[in-house]
Amino acid sequence: MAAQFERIIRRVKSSMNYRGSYSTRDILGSLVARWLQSGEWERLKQLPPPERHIGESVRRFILDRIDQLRRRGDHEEMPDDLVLVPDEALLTEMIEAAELRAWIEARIADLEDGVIDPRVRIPVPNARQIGQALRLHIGGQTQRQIASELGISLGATNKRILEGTNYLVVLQGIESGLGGGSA
Amino acid sequence: MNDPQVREKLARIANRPPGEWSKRLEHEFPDDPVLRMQALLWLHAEKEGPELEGSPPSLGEAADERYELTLRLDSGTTASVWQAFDRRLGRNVAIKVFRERDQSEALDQVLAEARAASDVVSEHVVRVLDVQYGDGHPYIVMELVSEYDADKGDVVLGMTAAACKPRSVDEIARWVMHVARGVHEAHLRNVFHRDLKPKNVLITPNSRRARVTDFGLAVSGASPDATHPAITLLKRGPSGPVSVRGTPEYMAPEQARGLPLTLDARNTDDRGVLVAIDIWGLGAIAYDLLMGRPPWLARKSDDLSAWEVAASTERPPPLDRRADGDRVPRRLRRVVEKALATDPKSRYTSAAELANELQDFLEKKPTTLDRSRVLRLALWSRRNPQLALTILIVFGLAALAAGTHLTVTRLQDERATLDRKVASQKAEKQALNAEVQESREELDETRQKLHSERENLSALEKSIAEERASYQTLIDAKEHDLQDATRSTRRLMEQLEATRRERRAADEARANLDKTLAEQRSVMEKNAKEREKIRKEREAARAERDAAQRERDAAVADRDRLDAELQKAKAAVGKLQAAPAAPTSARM
Repeated sequence: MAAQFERIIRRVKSSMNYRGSYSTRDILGSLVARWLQSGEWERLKQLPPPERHIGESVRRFILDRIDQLRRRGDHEEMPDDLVLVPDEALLTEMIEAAELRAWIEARIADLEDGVIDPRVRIPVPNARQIGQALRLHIGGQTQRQIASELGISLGATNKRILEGTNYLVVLQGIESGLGGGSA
Repeated sequence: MNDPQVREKLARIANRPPGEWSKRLEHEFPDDPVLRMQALLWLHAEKEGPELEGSPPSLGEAADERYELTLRLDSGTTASVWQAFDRRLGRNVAIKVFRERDQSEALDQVLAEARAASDVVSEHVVRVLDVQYGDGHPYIVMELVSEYDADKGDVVLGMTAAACKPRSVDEIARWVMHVARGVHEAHLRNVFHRDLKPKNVLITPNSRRARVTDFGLAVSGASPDATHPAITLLKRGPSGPVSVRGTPEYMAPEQARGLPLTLDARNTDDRGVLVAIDIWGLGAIAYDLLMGRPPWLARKSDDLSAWEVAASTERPPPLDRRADGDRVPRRLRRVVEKALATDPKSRYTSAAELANELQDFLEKKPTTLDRSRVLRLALWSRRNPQLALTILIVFGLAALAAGTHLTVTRLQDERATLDRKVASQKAEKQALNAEVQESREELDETRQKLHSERENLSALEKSIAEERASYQTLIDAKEHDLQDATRSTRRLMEQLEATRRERRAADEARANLDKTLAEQRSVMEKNAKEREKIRKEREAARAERDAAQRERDAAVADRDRLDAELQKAKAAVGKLQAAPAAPTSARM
């Protein structure tokens, strides 16, 4: 269970980090996130895992994007048949990361609206301010900037981010089958 | 159990060692296993919580003993940057602490690059002082960019160029020049940055000098780039797999399309590629500081990310007006546009060349792109205003003297010419006077002749008048006779005209008569024809009448005959009636 806890915490926290500089993996991650938004993943999830062929689907999606780029300019350096993507296991990991990031953004939006998931049994006061602080946090603002933006002290900012992160971890644990139960 | 006391109980439990948490939770919430599980997750998350300003990460026992992390300065994807106090050397430093604890190939690479960057010594580069894998988080110790502020009586930290508003266009050029000098120093040691952007430039608070930092993506001669080797997004034919790293908004187009993993700074061609990327990065910093936006931005309208826009062959929006509406000076614009050339070969060949261009711009010297002689002269004058003014005055005085001399000479020439003209005009005047005198004498003589002629003419006119009077009398008489003759002639003419009119009327009457006669003749002929026709018709009618008469006569004869027969019959009948009655059967 400790390993499961650690995995959930690590995934949530790493998904909340702001990425300023990009690596190839980040670029691919952003393309996978766009692929996820296209609804293709929802369709593939209906199929049994061996029939999903995620790599092929992502590859096709990337090719479409590159086609778009090619239409915008000269891209003879990008031949279609040389576009490679990582193996299915790594792709699945990236898809999960993209899904988690989208999930986190949706939950932050809920918090900004003052909505707390009823399954969470630990009281979370100041939901709106927590949502606002988390929104700025994942947007790459430092805690000093967030404090200045929200007009609260640095200590209060730290507390809001900490509580928000804990709330998201608990909720992600519930989604993963830990600490669930009726409201 | 969803009450505020839950948080108080959790806070108390959080102060206990993690090993006791489950037991304590069971004690506090014995009937609620769901809450216990959630609380356990909450406590673990809080323990591992995000790195906050108030909770610096551990660098390991030895490092924690030496460095006291006091303030988080920045936070990135893989690391956070802290202000720290080096207890051993008694100075403040900046420490970049990586989130990843475990040793990995990628982290090894970053740390190796940082070690390579530690060789770079320049007043424009933030010095890397130490790179360590402790028993805690890996970290890089760097020089802390700060200056003592006498007014505040305290040390003030530098700010990134992204957060520090430049005071003028010249200041922007100066910052980029500083960064270019620092980057050139790095290039001389085969260290390349590849992630140049305003956020990686620190500005000292008082002297406002720029220093480049964060060689996190740097490539050095000792360490070819092989980060994230498991990921290959795109692959080109002969050059093998490529990787994309950097910040999309500031990437060179070729960098966004991917660079070979095997780039080696010791190879001349690869070195050219790496230099060109950093030159673009310098141009991108200048572009951002001038325009208030990076060269590439995501376009929601086209659903394109900044990386995709960078990878396309588009040009960044033109450098014309700054956000405040001021125009970007043309000379600086040319330099930045050359640094941002789409074709890497069209960019500056070294960061030093770009720095020199910016220095020339700042010192108002012509850059290699300023070819106009007028512009070069204007720039020289702006650089040497006193000398230019002196030269201008000397030239002015010389020009004035020359002008005066020329004017005097010209006036003397003109005066001599005028004297000559006056003399010749005097001679002409004397000749003219003589001519006038002669003409006057001739005129007097002519006048006298004219006078005598006029007297002769008067006498002649008088005799002519007398003649004219006598002739006039004669003419009057003749005219009177003529008028009488004219009147009689006019009367004859009138009579003649009347006669002519009568004759014309008679002619017209005769013509009308002839016409009438002709018409009457025609009518008569027509009447004759009609009469003939009527006569014939009458004869026919008469014949018909005769025939009818004959027929009537025959009819009358028939009637008479029939009447006679009838009389006979009647007589027979009377006879019969008068005879004695015959038997009935006989009548039957």
